[in-house]
Amino acid sequence: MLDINHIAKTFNPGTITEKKALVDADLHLQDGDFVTVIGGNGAGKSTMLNAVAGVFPVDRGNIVIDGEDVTDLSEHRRARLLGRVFQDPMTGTAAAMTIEENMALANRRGKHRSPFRWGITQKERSMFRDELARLGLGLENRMQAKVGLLSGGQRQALTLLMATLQKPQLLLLDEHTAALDPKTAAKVLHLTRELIQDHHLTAMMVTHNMKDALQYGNRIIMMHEGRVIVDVEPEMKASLRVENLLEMFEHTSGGKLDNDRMLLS
Amino acid sequence: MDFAKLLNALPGAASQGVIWGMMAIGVYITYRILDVADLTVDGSMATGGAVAAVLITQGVNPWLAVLCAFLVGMLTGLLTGLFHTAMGIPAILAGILTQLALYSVNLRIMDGKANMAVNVNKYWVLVSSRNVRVLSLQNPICLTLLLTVILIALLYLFFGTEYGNALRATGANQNMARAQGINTSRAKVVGLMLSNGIVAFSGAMLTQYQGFADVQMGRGAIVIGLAAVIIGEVVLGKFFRSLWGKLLCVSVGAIIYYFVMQIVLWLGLNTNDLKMLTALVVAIFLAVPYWKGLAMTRRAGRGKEEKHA
Repeated sequence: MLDINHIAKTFNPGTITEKKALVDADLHLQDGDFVTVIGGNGAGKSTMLNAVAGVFPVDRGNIVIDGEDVTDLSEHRRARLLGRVFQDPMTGTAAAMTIEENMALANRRGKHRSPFRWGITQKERSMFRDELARLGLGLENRMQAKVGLLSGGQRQALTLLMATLQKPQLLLLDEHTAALDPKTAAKVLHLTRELIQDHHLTAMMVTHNMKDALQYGNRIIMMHEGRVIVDVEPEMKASLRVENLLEMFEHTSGGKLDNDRMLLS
Repeated sequence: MDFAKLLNALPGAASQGVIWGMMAIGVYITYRILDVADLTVDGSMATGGAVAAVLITQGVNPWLAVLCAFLVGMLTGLLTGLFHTAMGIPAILAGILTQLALYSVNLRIMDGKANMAVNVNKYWVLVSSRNVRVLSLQNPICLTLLLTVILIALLYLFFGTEYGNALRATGANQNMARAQGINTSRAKVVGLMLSNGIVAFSGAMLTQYQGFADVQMGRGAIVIGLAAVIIGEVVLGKFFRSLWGKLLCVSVGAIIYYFVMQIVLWLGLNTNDLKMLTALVVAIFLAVPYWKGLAMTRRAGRGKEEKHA
């Protein structure tokens, strides 16, 4: 489903702020894989997701989604293959537009947008209402409300729903619960798993929470200094514990994990 | 002070307000919907006027002339859009570059003359300030109001379509728009074209109304447009939430602006000082939300300290 073939990315090359974000990242996902991505700050987790999404061109290597080489496709052209949820709840939705308008935009992801067809149809409205109802947040009664009025958790739930309205080939979750309080984060994670299972999605989820990384998904990868250093296959993952992860990390990276943001429990 | 003198000036102010209101609606599209401050308008306003003047004085149907002005205005927006998206120039600078270039272009259009008369007695024009006190359909207010209503209706419909929503999303959240597969660069170019087309259209109407085109006629247009947008929001913004209502506010804002200017003139201010006054008014209105925000954060901060103590 996804082949990341030895990609590299250096930001601001040749300057004092040069940053080798990805050195030689290589990853291959099967159809239906739900992989969690962990690693310290600056390991290249988000950079790898953004490279797949096409936020910037990569320096080397190529990216193939569902048999299609997307390496040279611009971000908005790749969008038809991808559902994305971001760390900042502000990023995934348009605050100044209503809930139903945001959903209508998402429902046209990857499709031609005509100046001669209405932006929202009645049929869509009832479909959106049903979809919102399953969130259990009462948003189905606030479809005309501006998204800016919603809480961070509500916005992330909405963004998740929007990302899956048109079934994506690949769902990219970039620490999408990091900005939420623990209770809300758990709810959003639960919803994430539900949507992934219901739609049989292939997904990548970056997280700082090792427990979440172990609890969710069928595969787990660990990144360090722009490479994938640990890749735990489905057979192995079920029996994996936090201590095992730490051991693996120390073994392959040759150093201790010293990262405050990495939650161990 | 002669009050009759002020009353006498009000119909003219209203007509001018309605015509500039259409220009301000163009500014609203870039400033509020697309979230870009587009300074092209100072040039494209005069471009629209120049195109209309040249065509009408050559005997072209004035409707066709304003249509041509609209299309040429779109080209000016295209230029700014390409400066911005294809060449990576910041939007404000892109607009300034086009505006500067248009000064030469406008002189070329008018065959090197800085000023070109369109005599209402010699040519067929759609509106004229001569009829501003006539109680008939000839009165420029009638046609300009009708055109404003049509313009607002068309824009309201457009921004309800799939592509219209894509433009709004681009202005509201570019990252989100791209993640939804919207070509944000193209959306910005289209928005700038639409905006400047409307601005040039308004310039074409103004040329007919005042009976001449002038290479300077767009100077400060962006500030007048912003003034109309802001005055409309402050005075009437509370009552309207839909887009058509907001566009109507802009038009009313422009009329209020011209009324206020007339009153200020009547109170004895020099005409030459009007632009300075406009700039100050816009600056203050732009500052108000900022100051409000500051006061709010300070109050919130103080609340926290008290809690700690």
